[in-house]
Amino acid sequence: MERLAQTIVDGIADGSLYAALALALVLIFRTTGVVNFAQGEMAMVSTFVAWSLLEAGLPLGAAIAVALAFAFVLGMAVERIVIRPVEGRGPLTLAIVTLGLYILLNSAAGWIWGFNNRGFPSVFPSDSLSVGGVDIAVESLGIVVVLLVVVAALFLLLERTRIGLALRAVSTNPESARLCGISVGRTLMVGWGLASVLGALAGVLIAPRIFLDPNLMGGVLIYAFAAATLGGFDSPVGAVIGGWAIGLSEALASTYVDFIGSDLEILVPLTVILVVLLVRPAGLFGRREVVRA
Amino acid sequence: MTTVAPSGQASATVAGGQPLLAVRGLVAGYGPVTVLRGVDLDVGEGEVVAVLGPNGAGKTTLLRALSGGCRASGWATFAGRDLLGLAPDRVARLGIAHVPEGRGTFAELSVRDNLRIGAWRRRDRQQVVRDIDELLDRFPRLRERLDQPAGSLSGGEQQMLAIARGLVSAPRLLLLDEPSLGLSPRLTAELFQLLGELVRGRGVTALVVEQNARLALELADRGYVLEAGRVALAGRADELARDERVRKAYLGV
Repeated sequence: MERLAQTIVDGIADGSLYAALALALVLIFRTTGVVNFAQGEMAMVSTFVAWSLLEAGLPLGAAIAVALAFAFVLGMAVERIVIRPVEGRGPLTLAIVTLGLYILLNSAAGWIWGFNNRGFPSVFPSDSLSVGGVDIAVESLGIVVVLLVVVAALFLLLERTRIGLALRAVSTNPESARLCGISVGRTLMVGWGLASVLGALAGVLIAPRIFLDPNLMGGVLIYAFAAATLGGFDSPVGAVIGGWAIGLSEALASTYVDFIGSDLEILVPLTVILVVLLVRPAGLFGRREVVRA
Repeated sequence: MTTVAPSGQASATVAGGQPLLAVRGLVAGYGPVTVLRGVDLDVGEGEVVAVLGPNGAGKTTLLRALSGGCRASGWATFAGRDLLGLAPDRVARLGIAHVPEGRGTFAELSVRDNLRIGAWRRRDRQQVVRDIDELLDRFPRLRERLDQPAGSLSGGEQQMLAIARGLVSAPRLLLLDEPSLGLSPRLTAELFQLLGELVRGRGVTALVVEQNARLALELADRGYVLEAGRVALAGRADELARDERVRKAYLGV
């Protein structure tokens, strides 16, 4: 019983991390229609920036704050320099471009920081809370709380602010948005910046749980893709539910299903992607009808 | 002041001095295809000008050329500023509201959000809220559906929403592309009556491209007839409505 509760909590905590990266993917897909394969690597680079700042003596909070700011600028730069030139060229071109960016960032990080494993401190204390007789790590709870706060903040931004209105307008009908005076280019840059910050947040929360190296986010990206696919690639709610579902099923499978140990864990998200695409490509909450504007 | 004249002559000397919009020798098209072959046109402050003509004459291209939506060369100024070559969002921020053919609705967003986006260029929040309120008084069906996704509205309602979106930006020049497109005769008549109140009644300057020549000429002060990318006829609306050529070709008489 206790084992089950622990597994569930771990699953939801991991799932929240997948959800954070999946939210970044969904935000970009919704506003620009691009599937950004480099989302994880952008997060990894930002996490390394935080690490370097820590090495330079900055306190953890400040290092993370600066790294998030860096992530925002990185996102804007990627949109402006890498994506904008190939904007209308079709999904295949964009996929290749973001895959190329993935390789570029991975190699650049290895070149700058090396491929050795290193540690990264957690913002949360390593204590456990006793809830109903079950020991739950503060870190796990903290991660879930952070995710919920982020989702709430994202919702408020999109629904209640001017930039949020612009983002929603551009994601629905960029031509009309232009005719209303919205600068689509600038709006997209902000969208990419925000997504990058989401990814970086996932990065600094994931790094303490495993080792920090350039391949930090490689595996996580697959889980995030599974979460976004399951939830529907254009649904933020779907990303969160999908993330939790993936995290939960992975935790339960690796604990209770004998032949799935830590090596075959990756089967879970891959199978989910396959099944969803075969059975219900739009995902649980997705809704991608192409409407002739 | 103006005469019903064959091509080559813009309806010159708009009363009151410099026209708000002045176009000379406009050549425009898409890629290798040239649609407009030298158009001269004026719109004075407070005027409603109709643009008539058959399909393919270049009426939509004219509006697109002005709002930066296709390639254009020649000469066009708006309140003294060069217009050609500006990006569409720049043009919009100058106060030119282009309501495109097909309405350009933000289908997934609510009616309310559609209107808020329409008011994007304006910074006076309080007044925007009042203006939206006032527009909703004139378009009660939109008020009923304020929180519904705009894509769920009927064709007529979407057209009203598109016009409301254009008006809420407090434009200095409204470009309307085929407002009657896809609407029943009854809805079209209703729409033009509203346009009469909202545009003429408030002195909004407008350039209206329209297939329905009769309603357009009733609404407008002056008109141009485009044929094969050039101005074939120009003049005061009432004179155009009486002109034999116009009556035969566009008024079904």
